[in-house]
Amino acid sequence: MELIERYLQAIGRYLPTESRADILAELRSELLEQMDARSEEWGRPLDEADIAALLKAHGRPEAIALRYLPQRSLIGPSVFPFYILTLKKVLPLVLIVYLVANTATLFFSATGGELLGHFVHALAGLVPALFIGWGAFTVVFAVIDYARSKPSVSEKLNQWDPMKLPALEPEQAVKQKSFNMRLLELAVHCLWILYVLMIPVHPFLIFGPGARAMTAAGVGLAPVFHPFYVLLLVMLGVQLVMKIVGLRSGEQRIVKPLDFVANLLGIWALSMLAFAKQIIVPLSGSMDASKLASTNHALSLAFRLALLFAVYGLIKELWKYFRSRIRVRRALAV
Amino acid sequence: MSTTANPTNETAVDAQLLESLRLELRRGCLVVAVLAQLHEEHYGYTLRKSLADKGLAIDESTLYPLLRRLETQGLLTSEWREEDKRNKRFYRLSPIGEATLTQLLAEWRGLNASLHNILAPTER
Repeated sequence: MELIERYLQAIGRYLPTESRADILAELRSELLEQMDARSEEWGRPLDEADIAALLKAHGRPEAIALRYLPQRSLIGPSVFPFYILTLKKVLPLVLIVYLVANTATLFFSATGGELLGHFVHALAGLVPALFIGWGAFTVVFAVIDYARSKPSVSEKLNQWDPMKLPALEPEQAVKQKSFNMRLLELAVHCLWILYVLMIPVHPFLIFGPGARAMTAAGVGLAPVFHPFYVLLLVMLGVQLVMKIVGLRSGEQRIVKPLDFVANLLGIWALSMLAFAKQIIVPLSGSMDASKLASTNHALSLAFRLALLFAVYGLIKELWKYFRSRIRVRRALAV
Repeated sequence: MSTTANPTNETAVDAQLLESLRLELRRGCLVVAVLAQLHEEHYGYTLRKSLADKGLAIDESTLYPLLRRLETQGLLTSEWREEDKRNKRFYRLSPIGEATLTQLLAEWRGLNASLHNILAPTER
């Protein structure tokens, strides 16, 4: 008998206070009835092992108690599909905002040497950021689910008008440039390469009258411009290949990845200037050191800003590219 | 290399899925059966016995919470009484329960007739 009381006590731990005594009394009555029936069937009183077997067949205390508790869920089945759909759409946005914010912080605060450390630190913070985003949306949807359980809110939410559905979206036509336009672009690009090749010999092509002013001020470009220039030429070369390939077929299969490579090279070149210790250097001792430092700082900020936009642009393009590829694959799978 | 699918695998019934569908099918029927059986007053143990005798076995961990839920919904009434020197809780259908059962049985008969019509051609 003591075993039954111990069993009931274990069940009682999980039951609500207000109904505990009542539920346990009823369970006790049921168990005693079962014992009586079994004892009558076997023609002898039950021993401890028999009672233990009976209780084991009755079920684990936690499982029995659970049956008496109301079924609860943070987000119910009617709201859950919307929750998943929103998470799928919003978490990538959280990721982009986080990347842009951290890239901006990185560019405007770090110098070249600290870059890797800041990058690792930002990467380590990504998981908590995603968890916080997920947690916030879960709380919002839990509140929506709770509000939906109220009849007045539920009635309001269920009201909708089919006439107010958005108009059909026109199918996105792939913009294909004409052959003449592609040829013109190739010609302009060749001229552009020629122009860049002439810059070292004729600096006024890029600085205009500023080239003379720089010479007058006794300053020139820092050595960092040499690898920058080489990278710039490589990038233009990749773009030239891209335009020649595009001229033949106009297809995006090879052109788009080449465009990403060119963009990456551009970002690499830009980051050299953005994180260089000096962008302009004194050619003679005539320029004030503090003025030179502030000019370098201003130029560095400008390049970092440009780099930020370039990185953002690349991320956006990559996102669009891979999203469209995933959609095509899904459509083919269906 | 052969690509022929094994027909046994394709037609094998997923035991877990079948059990889940069976439970779903049974759930609604249990409510109707319990309400119908409580036209007469019963306490938990005798109710379970009488249902089992009529072919509908139901374990106690399902029956007691169900009785409690039906009572909270106003479909049953209950009272504690002493019988054979032991306290027992007796359940009976409430007036609302009676009315609800009548409607549920009408629904059940309608569903049953529809299912018969749907199944008749396949059973021929």
